[in-house]
Amino acid sequence: MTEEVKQIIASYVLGCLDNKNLAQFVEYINHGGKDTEAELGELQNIVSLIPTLLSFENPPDYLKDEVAQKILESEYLTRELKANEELTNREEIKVIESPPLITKSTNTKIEKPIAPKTKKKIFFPILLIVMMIFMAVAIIWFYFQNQGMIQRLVSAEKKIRLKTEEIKSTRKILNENMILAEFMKNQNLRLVEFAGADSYANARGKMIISLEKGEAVLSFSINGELSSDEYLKIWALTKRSEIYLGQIDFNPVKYFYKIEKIPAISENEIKLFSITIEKRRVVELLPKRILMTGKVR
Amino acid sequence: MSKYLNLTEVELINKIKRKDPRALEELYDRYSPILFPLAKKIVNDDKKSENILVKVFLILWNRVELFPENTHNLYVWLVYITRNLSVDHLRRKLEPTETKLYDSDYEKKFIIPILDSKIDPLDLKTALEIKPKFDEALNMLDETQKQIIHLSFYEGFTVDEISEKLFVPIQKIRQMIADSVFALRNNLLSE
Repeated sequence: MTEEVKQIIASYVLGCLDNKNLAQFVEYINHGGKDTEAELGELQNIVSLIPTLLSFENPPDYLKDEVAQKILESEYLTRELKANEELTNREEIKVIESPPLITKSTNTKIEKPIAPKTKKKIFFPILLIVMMIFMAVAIIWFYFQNQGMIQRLVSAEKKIRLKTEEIKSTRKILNENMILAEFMKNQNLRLVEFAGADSYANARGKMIISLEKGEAVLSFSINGELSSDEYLKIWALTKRSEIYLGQIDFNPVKYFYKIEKIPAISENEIKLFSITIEKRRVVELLPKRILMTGKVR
Repeated sequence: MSKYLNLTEVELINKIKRKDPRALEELYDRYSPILFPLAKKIVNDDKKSENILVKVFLILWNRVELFPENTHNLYVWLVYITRNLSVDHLRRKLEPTETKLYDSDYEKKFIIPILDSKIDPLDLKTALEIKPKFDEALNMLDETQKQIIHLSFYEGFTVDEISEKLFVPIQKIRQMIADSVFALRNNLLSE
């Protein structure tokens, strides 16, 4: 035995080989290890005498029960493992003993082969495809429904807008005509027809006047617009003077203008009615510009 | 119980192989008074020593097939299992990140000893009979040799670690370890 082998054996029996050398030595022993020449066993016996020098001491009494308990647990686990292994083996046997796919009947007629159990495998993909188709159809259906709804909403909105405009217009006409309707309740009404008197603006109009009440309603049209600083004054011409009846601001969308607080004048005295165009800001003295003149019919 | 008291260790082992719990109990009664203080000496903790002792007898029960029956040497087998488990516990405590997973393979490689097939039979009774001679043989060693044996067997130091601890080159310490063990043998045989 070489010194090196002696050293390794001594280290092994004292338990001071590191894990790497220990694994190598164990491997060596397991494969014969003839170089140890029984010295290994002799030294193992000697070194294992070391604990005999310690004072003997019994472990606590409960420890024996603990050992028993652990062993029971370990046995239970072992049995469980074995049972599982057996179960697995049985399942494997079952697979081997499963019936052939094609069976022969007694009258030697070849039956249809038993379909392999692919139903479960196919069922879910088919279900998935059907669901996808259903969802696609539902999406398309909802899309067209939505489009139709949108069109109907747009159309309804347009109708509502038109109706609103109609109502506005009607209300406006009613408001406008209301002035006339109210005025027509008066008695001794006189109609004055105006004709254009200005060469620059072609205008014409009518005025219904109640001299008793001192009110009148004027309606006229004018070709062209008045500027924002222009307005109209209505006059009554008598033999002696020119009497101011009232004034109006031209509004192209207005049909009727009501004139109130007309001074009391006898109908016989009036020779002519006139409407003049006036400037709000009079910078210089300009000759009066007569738009229309009219007489009582 | 008297029936089991008279059985030899080999007979008891055979009964354990047939899963006879009373055989294990008998071995527990015989061996726990020596294995328990051994574990305590190494791990220096009562509770942990108890756990180690439980583990030793679990190994005996579950891995009895690994016991080399032809050696008739249960004593050495159990002493080494207890010593190796205790040192393994120490190492795991000191180097938790460097230790390997404790599984069946690890247990077989590093905890359960390989006994020389030519080892002489030894049982607890015989070992106790040799005890006084062994004590003398050990006392005949010099202090360094005793220290080397203590550091290896009880403290679980490896060759490299003993070398560092004693400030002796590694090659020299290998020789010193061998000298200590063989001197112990020679002392015992010369008695």
